[in-house]
Amino acid sequence: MSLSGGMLMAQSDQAAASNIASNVAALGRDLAQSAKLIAEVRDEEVEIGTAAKEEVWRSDKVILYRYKAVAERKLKTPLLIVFSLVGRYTIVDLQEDRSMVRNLLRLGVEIFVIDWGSPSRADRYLTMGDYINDYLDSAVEAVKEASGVSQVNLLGICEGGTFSLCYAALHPQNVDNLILMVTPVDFHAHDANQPLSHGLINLWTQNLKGEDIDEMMDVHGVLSGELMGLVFTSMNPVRNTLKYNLDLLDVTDDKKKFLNFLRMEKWIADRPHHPGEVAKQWVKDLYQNNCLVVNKLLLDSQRVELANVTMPVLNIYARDDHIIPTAMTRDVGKFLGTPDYSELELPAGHMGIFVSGKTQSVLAKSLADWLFAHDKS
Amino acid sequence: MAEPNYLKMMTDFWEKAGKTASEAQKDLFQQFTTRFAASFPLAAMPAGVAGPNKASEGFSELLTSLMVLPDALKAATDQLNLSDKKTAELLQKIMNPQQWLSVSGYTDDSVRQLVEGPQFADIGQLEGKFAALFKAWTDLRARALEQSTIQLNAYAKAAQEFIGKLREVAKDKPLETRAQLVGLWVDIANRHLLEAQRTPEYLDNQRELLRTSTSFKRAQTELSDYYGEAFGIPTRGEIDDLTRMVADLKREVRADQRRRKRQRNDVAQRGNAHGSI
Repeated sequence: MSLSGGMLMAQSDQAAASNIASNVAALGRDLAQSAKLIAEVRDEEVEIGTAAKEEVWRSDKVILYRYKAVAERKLKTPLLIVFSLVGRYTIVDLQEDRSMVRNLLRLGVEIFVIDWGSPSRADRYLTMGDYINDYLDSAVEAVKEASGVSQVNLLGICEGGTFSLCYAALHPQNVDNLILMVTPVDFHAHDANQPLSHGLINLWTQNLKGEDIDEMMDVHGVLSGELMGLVFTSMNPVRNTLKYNLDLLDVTDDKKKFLNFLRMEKWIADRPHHPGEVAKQWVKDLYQNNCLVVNKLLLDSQRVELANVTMPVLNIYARDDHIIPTAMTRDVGKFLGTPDYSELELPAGHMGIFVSGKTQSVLAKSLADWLFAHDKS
Repeated sequence: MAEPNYLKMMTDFWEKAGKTASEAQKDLFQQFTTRFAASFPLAAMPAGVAGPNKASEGFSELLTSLMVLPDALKAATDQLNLSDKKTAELLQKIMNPQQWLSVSGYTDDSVRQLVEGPQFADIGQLEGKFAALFKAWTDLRARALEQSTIQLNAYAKAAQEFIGKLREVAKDKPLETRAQLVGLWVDIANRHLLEAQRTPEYLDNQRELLRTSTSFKRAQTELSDYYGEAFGIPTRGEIDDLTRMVADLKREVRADQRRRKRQRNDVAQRGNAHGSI
C-alpha cells in the first residue's frame, strides 16, 4: 500500500485508485471506531491518582497525604514527595500499572505527598517563601510527627525539586536525603547542540522585561494554567495539534490503550494557576537572573546558600526533557555542599519519566536501592 | 415677523438627533464588526454588514446631512436675540454631530485623543474607558494577527518542503503507512515552526502580544471598576487590597501556629529528658 504522491504517479491509475480507496476505507473504520469508543467511555472511568491515601495535615489549600502501606515498612525514613505548582502530583500515580508511588510502596517505602491545591487570584500574594518556609516546612513537621522520625527523605519534582533544594539549604537539619527529579537548577545553562524544541521556555522568559512580568501578574493576579498549557503546546506545535485526530486513531483498536491516552489527557488538562508573586520570583529571579546557583536567591529575606545542602543527593533527570533540558539539571553537584552526589539519567521526556513503560521497572527500583543504601537504620 | 415655533423646532431637532444617534450606533457596531473581521481574515463577514469603504461612505453621507443642525440652531438662537452669546455658542457646539461622534470613540483620531489626551473630571470618563478598551482590543488583535502570519509563513514553507520530500522519498521507497506519512509531516512542520518561534521577529511579537493582552485586561478591569464604583460593587483594586491584608494576616497566624507548636515540642522534649533522668 503506497501513500506517497510520487509512488501513486508511478503506478497505474487503477492501482492508485484502489490504494486511495483502501486508505480511505481504513481511515473511515478507524474514525468510526474512535467515535464509538469516545461515546462509550464516561469520565468516571478515566480515573487517575487512585492509590489509597489518607489526609494527615492541611493548611489553607495545601493538604498532606500519606499513602496506605501495601507492604511491611522497610525504610526507616519516610519519603515526602513535593510536586511542582505547574501540574498535579497525580502524575506519580497516574494509573495502576504506571505508578512510581505503587512501585515504591511495594518495596516497603512509607510515602507522603503534598497536594498544593488550586491557587486562585485570592492566593496571588503567596510567595516562594510562603510555600517553602511555611507550607513545606509545616508539612515536613507533620510527616516527622506522623511517622515518629526526626528527618525526612525529600523528593522534589520539577519546580517542586527547586523548592525542595531551597528547603534543604534553609532547613538542612530536617532532610536526611534529597532526591531531585527533572529539577531546574542552573536556569542559564544550555547545550549548544540541543534540539530545537529544547530550552524554549528559557528563551521566551528571558525575552520578557521584568516590568512586563510585574504588570502581567498585577493585572491577572496569577500565571494562568491555560497560558502555561499554551506555552507547553507551542514547544511541540505540530505534534500537539495532531494528537486528537491521529494519535487517537492509533489507540482506538484497544480500549486499554485508549484509556491510557485519556488518563494522560485528563492529567494535562488539569493545570492549576501559579500564584502571581511566586510566578514573578520564578520567572524573574530564576529564569531571568539565575539567582539560585549564584546564591542570590532570597526567600523571606533569607539567602539560599546551596553550600548548605550537605546531605546525600540523588539527581534523576530525563534525557529527552524539552521542558527542563538536561543542561539545566545535570551536573549540579558542583553547586552543592554535599560530598555524596549521584545522578541517574532515564530515557524519557519530562513527565514520561513517570509514565513511560520503559522507565517503570527502572525508576522505583533505582530510587529505592539508593534510599535503602542511605537509610539510617 | 412671525414668532418662530421654537417648540416644533426643538421637537424636530430631538427627533433628528435621536435618529442620528441611533444611526451612529448602528454604524459604530458595523465599524466594530468590520475591524474584527479584518483581525480574523478567515472569518466570514456577517451578512448585511458593509465593507470598510461602504461603511465609510455611509458615515460621510450621514455626517454631511446632519451638519445642517448647527446652522438651524444658530438661526433659531439668532432669532431669539439672546443677550448671552456665550450660551448660544455653547449650545451650537453641544449640538454639533461632530462633537457627539468625537466622544463616541468613532474614529481612530478621536480614540487616540481620548486615550492619550488630557482627562477631564466630569466629562468623557466612560467614553474614554470604552475607547481605551477598544484600542487595547484592536492592538491585541493586530499582534495576534502578526503572530498568526509568522506561523502561517512557517507552515507554508513546511508544506513546500513536505511536497518536495514526498517526491524525493517516493523515488527510492514509497511510504507504507499513515504513521510514516504523518511522521514526515510532523518532523518537517515542527522544525519550521520551532525555527520561526526562535526568530527575533517572533520574539518581538510575542513580547508585544503579552503586553497588549495585559493592556486589554487592564482596560477591561478599569471599565468594570468604573461601573463597580457607580453601583457600589467592590472594585478589583479593593478586592486585591483585602486579599493582601488577608494574606499578610494569615501568614502571621501560620507563623504563630508554628512557633507555638515548636514551643510545645520543646517542652515535651525537656519533659522526656527529665523523665529519663
